[in-house]
Amino acid sequence: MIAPDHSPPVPARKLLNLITRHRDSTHVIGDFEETFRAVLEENGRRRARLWYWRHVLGSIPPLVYNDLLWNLALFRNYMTVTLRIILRQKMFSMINISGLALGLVCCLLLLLWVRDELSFDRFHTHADSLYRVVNRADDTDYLIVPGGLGPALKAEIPEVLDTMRSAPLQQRLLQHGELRFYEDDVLLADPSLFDMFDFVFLQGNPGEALSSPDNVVLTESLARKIFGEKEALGKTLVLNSNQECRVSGVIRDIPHNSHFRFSMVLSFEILPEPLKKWDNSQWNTYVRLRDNVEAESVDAKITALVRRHIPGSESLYYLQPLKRARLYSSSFEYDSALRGDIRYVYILSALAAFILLIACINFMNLSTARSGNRAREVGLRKVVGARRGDLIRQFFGESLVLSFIALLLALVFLVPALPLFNSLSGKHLSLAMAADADIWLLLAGVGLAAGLVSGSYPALLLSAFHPAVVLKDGAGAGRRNGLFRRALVVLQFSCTVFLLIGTFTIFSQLRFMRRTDLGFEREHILYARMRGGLNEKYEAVKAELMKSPGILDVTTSYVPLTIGSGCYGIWDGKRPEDEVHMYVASVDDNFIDFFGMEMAAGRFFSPDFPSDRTEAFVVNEAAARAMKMPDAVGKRFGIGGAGSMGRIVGVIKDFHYRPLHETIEPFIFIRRPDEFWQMAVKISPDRIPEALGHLESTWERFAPGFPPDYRFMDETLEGRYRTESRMGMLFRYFTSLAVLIACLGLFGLASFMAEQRTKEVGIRKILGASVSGLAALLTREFARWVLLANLVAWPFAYWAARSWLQGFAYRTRVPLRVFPLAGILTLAVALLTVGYQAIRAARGRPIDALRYE
Amino acid sequence: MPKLSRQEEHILLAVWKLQDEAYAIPIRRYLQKVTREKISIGGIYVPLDRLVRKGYLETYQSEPLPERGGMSRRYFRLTTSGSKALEDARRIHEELWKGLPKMSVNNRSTP
Repeated sequence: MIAPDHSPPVPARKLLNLITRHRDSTHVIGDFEETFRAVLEENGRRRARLWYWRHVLGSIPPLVYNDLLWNLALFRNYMTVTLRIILRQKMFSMINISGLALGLVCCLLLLLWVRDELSFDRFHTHADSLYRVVNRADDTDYLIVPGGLGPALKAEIPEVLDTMRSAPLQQRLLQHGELRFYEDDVLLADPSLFDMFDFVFLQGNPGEALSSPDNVVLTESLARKIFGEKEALGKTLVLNSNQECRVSGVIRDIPHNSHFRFSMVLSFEILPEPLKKWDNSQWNTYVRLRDNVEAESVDAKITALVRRHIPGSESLYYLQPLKRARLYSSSFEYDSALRGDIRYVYILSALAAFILLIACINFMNLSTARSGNRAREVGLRKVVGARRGDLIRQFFGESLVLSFIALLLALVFLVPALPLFNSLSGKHLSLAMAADADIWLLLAGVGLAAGLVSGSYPALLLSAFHPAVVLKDGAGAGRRNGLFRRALVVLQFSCTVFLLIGTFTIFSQLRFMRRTDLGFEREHILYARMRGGLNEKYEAVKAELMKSPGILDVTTSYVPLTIGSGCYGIWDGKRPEDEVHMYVASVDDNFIDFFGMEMAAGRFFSPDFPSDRTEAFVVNEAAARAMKMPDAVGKRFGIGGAGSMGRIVGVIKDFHYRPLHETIEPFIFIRRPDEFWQMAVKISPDRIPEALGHLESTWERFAPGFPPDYRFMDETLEGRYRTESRMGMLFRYFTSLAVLIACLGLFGLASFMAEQRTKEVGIRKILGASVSGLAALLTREFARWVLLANLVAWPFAYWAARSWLQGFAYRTRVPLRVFPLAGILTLAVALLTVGYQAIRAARGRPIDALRYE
Repeated sequence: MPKLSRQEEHILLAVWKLQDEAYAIPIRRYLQKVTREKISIGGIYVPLDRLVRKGYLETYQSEPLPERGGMSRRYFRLTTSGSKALEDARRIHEELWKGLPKMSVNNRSTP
């Protein structure tokens, strides 16, 4: 053994190993070692090591250059061949590349959408330990919990690090100097909002921003709207004309991927004490747990804690991770957040996968179809010594080059496509998001996957050709894989048919929702909140408004646009298991006529019965059913709380006050003028400007400084189905693109097959075949594939359509008639595509066909 | 039969000369001495390997040696075609040199 001192420097030795790995490296290393020792004995260690380094480095050029030269030569040959193939068959290459690029653009857009949905609320530093408290009662999940719960959780459960109560507030009239406008997105929140969540402060101190009742925190854009470029911090704002607030902080605008949406925050401290107590349940409560605490272990503790404070409570409580707030809350009640739906994430991911698959199949099909032409090349390469591995590498390399050209093209398309996609989907996706490393990884991954998948068939099949066979009969090799190609086309068209049926289903449900009789009128009705004391003068305002011929009727109610508040009814013979949540709203006498609703039994409120104002109730049919009262009229009923017991005077027919996703639930109407908050005005369609002018001047007279902030009812109702209409639009466009891509592939394939059968066509023609007969001959095969594809796709499409529709309480049936429609459509498109090629081939002069080759 | 390149010829001659001691290090050392040119270590392997590939040289291994860190030497010796190629080269040289007028430094000076 020699001392380690006497061995050459390790890194240099490794380097030597690396550069000699292609040859008999042990001898080379041995030679170096021997010389090293000689130098060592003669000149000492330092010189020897220096010598070793110098010579290893000096050996790199002669040794490596040699290897590289060979690899480069081969690589250049591969590239040349690839480029030649691209250029020689321009049409195929164009179809190949543009089809894949189109597919990639679609896929990328959809993946950006999906990624955006999945990124919701993850930007908070503590996102992993943040939760929302959910209250489960009667199989329904409510996001509102008692006011006392937040502080108690922090004080009594050691795993809870911090809590925050919040609630969205109704819009506020903001006033600063001359400027006055309504602001919608107002949040009321505990000061801990800024400790638990990451909202960036531009001005002010996060720790104290909400500490005093008159504090208000604004977002950057709201601050700019009010104060322009001037400093906002410390300025005074007047809310609703009577409440002075001081700007205590300005935060950067809320990121788009936050389920919170607010432009101003008021401090929870402004609330009167009773509202923060246990008997007031209207607050969303957020919890931050200590790190590494399992939320499940805390759930039971919360429930137990509530039972200690509210004896007899039967609700269960559990924590929902903040990261699930966006996508997994579709069944929650009183959720103020911006909701998404995980089902749409799945659906759009599937759409992206389908489109990519269709595009990749194009690629594979065209490559395999052309494999016959390449078979000779493969044979020759094998004869001159290419191993199978070399060929596999060559073909994968080729398809990767094509797929990366397509990817580059896709990126170029993406720039103009993104704004279009944003306006379709209502997202704020930007290429700036693409600055993230993982987007690039994703892109490279998609490109790589597309290249590998689409290159796999030619690479693995072509490389296996036996040289003697293909050199003797080159064309024969390409024909062998006809079955595989047929299967791919069938798969491709199955995907297309599936997407078509999906699109039809979405539109049919949308039409159903738009056309369903909601049980009330919604045309030419506008509504506005009554502020500035207007609600107290409601009768006088109404009388004044009715003077205008443009105004047909005036009533008051939240419904049917919003649901008012909730209650638990009290009635004779109620058993504990009958407990049911009911919505309650106060309405004017003419509510039922105004909206054209109908009574099922009894009567509606009437000025002829003064007692209606205190002790009459009108319930909907759902409520009567829930209370098991076949004839509810005249029964004793009450809603607890401040209201006394009274009688049910009538049953109103069910109407859809909620979106059609949800069933109609029990609803109670009362007539309490002190709970009139919103006015509905029906205007004459011919006199809209006149009516609006009168409305504004009347409001100015009765409530100076509070202009009516009115909206049209039909527009608001339409907004309820925005998600579905957006999905419908997305599906429509992306399905069209998928069809287009599939047809591109079919076009290429058809022209290739026509070319292959040129001679056959020529001979048939000489023997007397007609053009139409020949065209039919060439198209028949494709028609068969497409029909088969339809048969394959229908069951899957039926199943998918049915499960999607199940998400709606009120839904149309699976539109079976669109199945054959999708079939006819795909067939027509396919025949048009193929037919062009077929007719062109059939009309050619036979002499050209026979001389061909 | 393809002609040897100058470098190949030199290496074959070096191998022949060194006989039982013909492995990379002495070959390089010898060539450096004779040609008075610097040859990098790495530079010697490429032509040696090429000559083996062409069949002019063959290799054999020594026992593992401690002074080489336990690795064996790879010795080279001429094959029959290697010797033939050298013979051929030598014949060409000699025929080309035969009967040439005497070379003098002033050969090209003006009369």
